[in-house]
Amino acid sequence: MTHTAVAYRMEDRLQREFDELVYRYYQQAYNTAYRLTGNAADAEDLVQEAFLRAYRFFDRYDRSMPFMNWFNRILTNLYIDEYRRRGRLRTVSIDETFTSAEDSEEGVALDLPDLAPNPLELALSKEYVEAIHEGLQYLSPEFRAAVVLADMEGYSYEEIAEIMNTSIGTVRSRIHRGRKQLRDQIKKRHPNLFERGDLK
Amino acid sequence: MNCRYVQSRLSAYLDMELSGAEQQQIRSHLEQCIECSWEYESLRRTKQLLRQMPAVVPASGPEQVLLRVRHSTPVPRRTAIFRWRAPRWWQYAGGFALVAAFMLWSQSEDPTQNADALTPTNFTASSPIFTYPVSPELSSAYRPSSLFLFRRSVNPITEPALMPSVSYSVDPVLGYQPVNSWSEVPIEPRMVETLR
Repeated sequence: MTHTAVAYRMEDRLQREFDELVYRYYQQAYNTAYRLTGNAADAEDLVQEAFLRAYRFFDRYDRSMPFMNWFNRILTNLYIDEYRRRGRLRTVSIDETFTSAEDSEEGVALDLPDLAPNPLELALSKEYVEAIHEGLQYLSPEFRAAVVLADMEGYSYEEIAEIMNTSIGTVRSRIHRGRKQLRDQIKKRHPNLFERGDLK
Repeated sequence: MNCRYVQSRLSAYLDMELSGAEQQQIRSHLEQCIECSWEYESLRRTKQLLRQMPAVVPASGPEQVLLRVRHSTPVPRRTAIFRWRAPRWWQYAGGFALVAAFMLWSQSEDPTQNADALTPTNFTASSPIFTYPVSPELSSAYRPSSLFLFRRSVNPITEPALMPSVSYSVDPVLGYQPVNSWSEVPIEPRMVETLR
C-alpha cells in the first residue's frame, strides 16, 4: 500500500469517527448553545462554528477525555469570545415576551420542596421556563456558562474548571454568584416560587 | 462559624463540592440558623428549576454541520517535527539574518566583472546579480509568468503546442553555443482500458 493510500485510510477513519460524534451529540450541544445564547439563530451558529473548530483540531483531541468535555470547552470559549467581541449585545427574540407574574397567582405555586425525591414528575409550565430562560440572559457570559454547565449539563466543579480554563475557586464563585443572580431574576417575575413556607 | 461564611459556601455545599468536614459543619449550622436555611432553600430551588428545563429541539439537524465540515479544510495531519514552532522573535531574527546574508552576498559580487556577459538581450536587468543573457523569447518580457512558458497553439487540432528547447551547436571560434528553439510538446501516452 502506498503512503498516500495509508493517509487516505487514516483520514477516512477520522472522518467517520467525527461524523458519528456529530450525530450523537448534536442535540445536546445545541441545547447548551441555546441556553447560552438565548435564541435559536445564534445557538445554531454557535454549534456549527464549534463543530467546525472541533473538526479542524480533531487531531489534538485527547481520547482519554470524554468528547463532550473537550467539545464544551471549544463551545464555551467560542461563546465567551463572541460575546465580548459583540460588545455585550443582548439579543432577546420578540416572541419570547413576558407574561406578568400576576396572572399566575391562583395557586399554581409549585411546592418544590415536596418534589425533591422525584423531580422528574414535574413538568415546568411555560411561564416558568420562559422566566428561567430570560433570567439566564441577565447573567454575564462567564456566570451563565458556569451555571449552565453545572446545573443543566451536570458537570463537576473540576470539569468546569477544565472546560473554562480557570481554577476551581473561580468556578465555585461564578456558580454561586450566578445562581444568586438568577434566583433574584426569577423571583422578580415569579415570587411565588421562592415564598417562605414551612421548611422540612 | 458565622452566617456570612456559611452563605458564601452554600452553592458548593449544595453541589457537594466541599470537603467532608466542611460539609458537616455547614449542615449543623443550617439546622440552627433559619436565615441561612432559607438562603440555602432558595438556591436549591434555583438549581432544581434549571435541572427541570426541557430540552429544545433544533430547527436543523446535524446534516447542516456535516455539510459545512465537508467544505472546510480537511483534518490537519501533523507529525511531531512540524508541531514545533520557533518563538515569534526567533522567526523574525531568522528572517533578518537571511536578508542580511543575501545583501552581503550581493554586494561582494563585482558588477564590472560581468560586464561582457551583459548583452542587449537582457530584459530582466534589475540588479547586477540577476542579469544573465537569455534569448528574448524566453525572457520575462515575452511571458507574463513561467506558467506561460509554453506556446499554446491557437488551434490545438491542426497545430501542436510548442515548448522551448535548448540545443548546443559547436561554433569553431566560440565553442558550444546555446541555440534556443521551439519544439513540439510530446503527446502523453494515453491510458487505454482493456478488458481482462
